[in-house]
Amino acid sequence: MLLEFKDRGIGVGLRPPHYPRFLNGKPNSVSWVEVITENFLPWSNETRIRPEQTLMKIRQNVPVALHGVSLSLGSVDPLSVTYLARLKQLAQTVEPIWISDHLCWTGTGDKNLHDLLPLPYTEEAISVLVRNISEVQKALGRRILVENVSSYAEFEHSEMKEWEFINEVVRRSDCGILLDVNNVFVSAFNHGFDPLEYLNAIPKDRVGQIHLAGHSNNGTHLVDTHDAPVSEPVWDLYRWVTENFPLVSTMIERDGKIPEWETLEAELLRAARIRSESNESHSTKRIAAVL
Amino acid sequence: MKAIRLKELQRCFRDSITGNAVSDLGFDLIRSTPNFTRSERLGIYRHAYRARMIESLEDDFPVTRGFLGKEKFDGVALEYIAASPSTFASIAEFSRGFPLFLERVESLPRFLLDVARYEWLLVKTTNEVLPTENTVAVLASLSPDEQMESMVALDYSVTLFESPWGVDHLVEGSPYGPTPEAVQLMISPSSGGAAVERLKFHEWRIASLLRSGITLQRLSETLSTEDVDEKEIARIFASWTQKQIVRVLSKKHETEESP
Repeated sequence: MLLEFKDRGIGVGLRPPHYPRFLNGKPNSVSWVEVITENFLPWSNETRIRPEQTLMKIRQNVPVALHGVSLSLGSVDPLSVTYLARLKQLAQTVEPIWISDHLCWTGTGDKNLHDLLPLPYTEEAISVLVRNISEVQKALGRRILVENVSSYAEFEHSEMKEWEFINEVVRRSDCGILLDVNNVFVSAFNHGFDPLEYLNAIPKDRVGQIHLAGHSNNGTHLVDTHDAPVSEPVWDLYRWVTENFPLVSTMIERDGKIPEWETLEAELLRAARIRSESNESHSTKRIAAVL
Repeated sequence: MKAIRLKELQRCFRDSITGNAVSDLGFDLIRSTPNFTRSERLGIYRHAYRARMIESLEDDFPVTRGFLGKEKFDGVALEYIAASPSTFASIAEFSRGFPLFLERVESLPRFLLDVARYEWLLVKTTNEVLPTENTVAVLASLSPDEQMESMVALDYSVTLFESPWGVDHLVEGSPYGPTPEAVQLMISPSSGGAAVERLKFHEWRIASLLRSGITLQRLSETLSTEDVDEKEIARIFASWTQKQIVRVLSKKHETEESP
């Protein structure tokens, strides 16, 4: 595993309804939190916004990871110089444990569609991503994690599988992977591939963080809504990951219909139990191998 | 399938999502399966784009939406999204231009334009950084003469807003609906979000003078010619200073030392 993404245990995607809990301390069930970068970046013509003040208070109680949605790493357009400068400044202030964004594009021609749009799996797309990821890492002075997105469209002219694509991007740009297990499941359902084939192909030593989240089942397809509990098949996939990957920082991501803390915490504890059981299993196998 | 450059693919895909019609090229680029067609796949992105942007506007303009009704509001929101697509990193900032856009929409009642402007100011102020400078301490460190010669102003996070429609009560949920009620409001950041204060005429006058910066000496002289009681000026100024609504732009000796 890349050293800068050492295992930090169980974390949570921190959203406003739960801010008060982390302003007053830190629940024992959580070791770190992830926040959406854009919610704390200055607005146009502003130097700072109040959410950043809130974040700095939270930061005193718990380590923070910054997770962005607007870097648009896969866009053919140059990266936004303004965005990158503001991200760098925020990172210097917050000192996050790591910074992440997505393997996608969010718009072109200065327009932001505020969605994680799919890329074709082509050499050209790899080149664009590698160029942009490298530029970001150079600007920030650190490796970043890039997340696999769930998708509803694949392109006819793709030249390879998604997992082959990710492998090449990560190898050439020397970045880490934020593995969203729910996104793997959603995409597998929507495009008809085996999620285990996908997970087996991911470079284990590059995975620095795991997302678990819920989705909506529309019959013919799944939609990554992040507004439901983690589904049982995704829990099964997560268990498989913990049994086949080194221990990786894991968090629950919930963006809509955010439940009471106790409900969310129950999922965090379930993730912790799965990790613990898998860790015991690893230990047993290591001991058996020696004996 | 003929290869397509990424630049053109992204342009076609973007136009297929945001436009009123799906471009043929954008459509054909997408793989289709019997149970999940191209149209459905692209439809997810088209729907998600509109739903997300409309939801963001609904969150920031709930009272405007309430008066317009969902159907009319969503219709106007879609027009705004088409006319002024977001160029912001944060979707929260997308609402900034909506009140101005509403002024171009025909047949909207005038009071509603003020409601929308006011709702945006509440959102903006809630996101403003809480003032950190201790104005009381800064002024207390000065002699009386230095205080009078210091340049003071409303903190940049404070907004003055006036309307003939009593918008603050409307947004708070007044059961009486829009009635002509001229109000002059001071909106400032507070720990709970935004604090709104209805100003009396002379308070509005003081705030207006403070808006772009004025020395205390000049403030006092101007208001004395308008028959505003000195004790009342001092009381208001002390209160606003305590609440960090007023900040010191420059002290007397800094003014003198300036080239």
